[in-house]
Amino acid sequence: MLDYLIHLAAEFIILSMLTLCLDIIIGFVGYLNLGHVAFWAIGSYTYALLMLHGVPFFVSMVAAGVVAGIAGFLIGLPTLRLKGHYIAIATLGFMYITGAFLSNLTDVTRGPLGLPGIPRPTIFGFYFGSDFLFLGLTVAISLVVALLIYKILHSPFGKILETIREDEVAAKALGKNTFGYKLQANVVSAFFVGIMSALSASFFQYIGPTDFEVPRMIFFLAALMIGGAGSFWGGLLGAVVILGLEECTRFIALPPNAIGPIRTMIYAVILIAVMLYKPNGILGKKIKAFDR
Amino acid sequence: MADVIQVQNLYKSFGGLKAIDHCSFSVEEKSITGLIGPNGAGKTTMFDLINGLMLADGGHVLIKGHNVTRWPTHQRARLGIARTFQAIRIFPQLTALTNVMVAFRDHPEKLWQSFLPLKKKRKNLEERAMEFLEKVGISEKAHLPAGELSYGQQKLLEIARCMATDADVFLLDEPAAGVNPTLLNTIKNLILDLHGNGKTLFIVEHNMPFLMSIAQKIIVMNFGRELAIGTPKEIQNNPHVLEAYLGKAKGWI
Repeated sequence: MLDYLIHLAAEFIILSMLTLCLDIIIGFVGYLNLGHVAFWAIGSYTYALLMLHGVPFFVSMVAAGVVAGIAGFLIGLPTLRLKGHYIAIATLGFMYITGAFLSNLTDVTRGPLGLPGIPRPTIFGFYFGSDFLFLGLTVAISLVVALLIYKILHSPFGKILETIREDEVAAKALGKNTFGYKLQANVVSAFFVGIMSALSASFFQYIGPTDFEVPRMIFFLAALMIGGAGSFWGGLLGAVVILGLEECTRFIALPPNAIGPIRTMIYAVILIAVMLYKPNGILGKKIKAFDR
Repeated sequence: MADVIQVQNLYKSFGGLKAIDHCSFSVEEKSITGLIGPNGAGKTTMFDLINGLMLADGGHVLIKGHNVTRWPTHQRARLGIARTFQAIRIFPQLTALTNVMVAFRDHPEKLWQSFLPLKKKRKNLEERAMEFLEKVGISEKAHLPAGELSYGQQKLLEIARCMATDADVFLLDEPAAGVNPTLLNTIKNLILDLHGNGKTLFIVEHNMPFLMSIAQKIIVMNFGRELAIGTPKEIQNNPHVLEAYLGKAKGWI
């Protein structure tokens, strides 16, 4: 039971943090970025390949952040000039392209087989092999990342991002280089996704191309809508709510073949309820991209 | 006096529609200049071309001597040109105070500045933003989300935000539209106050008595080009202007 809870806690934290990274773009800049899981994929593969080649943990983690950040910069250059739902379509394309590379660059990624046996980190000779120790490491790194994101979102820089969400034309007319701020936000979001992917890859110890597809993206979007986009705590809360409800289904005696569909139904029911009764999520702000 | 805005042979079309058709005029420094014309004459398009929300297809826009025709909006704004919008553009979910604070030139908004202790700076910004809200008379609403303010208060907030950018040229798009007489008076006094402080105001307006009472020069546009330029008195007696607004007289009946 304790092992189960430890495992669960680490999963909750990692997925909450990844949702928080998405919140920077959707909740604060107000751009519907569907390429989020592609940054996660890029970070995860970078980290996993480096770790499998014996590169030290911190180097691999920072490299994952930097490579994902560069991807955020490059994909931001064309897509952040788009408006409204066009950016959603363009970033969705980015996700599919990334997936196609992962599946077909078999020499590097082993294609659909994925990368198994990603080691848990060793820091200064100390091996974080057990779930319990790894949870400790996850908490420590997540706290640092969350604090940095908190600082950024509640700074004057964060306020400028919010003006873009509220009215980009007005922000431009006030002399704000909105494209520059959007690009910086995209890089920041992708960088932290890259950092967190180090934890997720070492935690699950396996990654494959199917881990970074549409269903995952829908999970993050649902989590953000439920927790509330445009709020720091909302970004963290949503994933906990969904995963919590999902775990509850474990304790109901159900035939095994019914569990999958029932979980999907739970998503759907929560999402519909949120959209009807709490369109801004539990803690969030009004986001035009989510508008009814 | 020097011209702060010069529009030279400007041209802009949307498909087959010539929205701005080789239009030229200038706005003098420290003046109140009005821009009038029938609906669809191209007034708001002209504002968009001047502040860069649209790019011209031909001709030039000069601001303070810089040829800004191809410049993006934010760079033009940094030359000291601020604008209000016909349909109000505030940041509705941010407080009125924040709406003004983000407009300051010294707002510490660089990414790396997120990690600095900025308590003192923030307090200073808040105090200065409060002064602007007091100036336009909505300081008691400072901590409300701007979207919860009344229409008139939002208009005043938009002007306060422009003032906070430290601009010396103000483009006001229909400041008197949809406001009651009391508020109209407040807005008029704000405009005269800005003018008294050496600012340039370029105003699109349909309320003629209001505009005629404050402007020194009026530019009339019709079908995307300047139809007449002159003092309010000259404009009022210009037969072309009367024709544009009221239609051509078909002889005496």
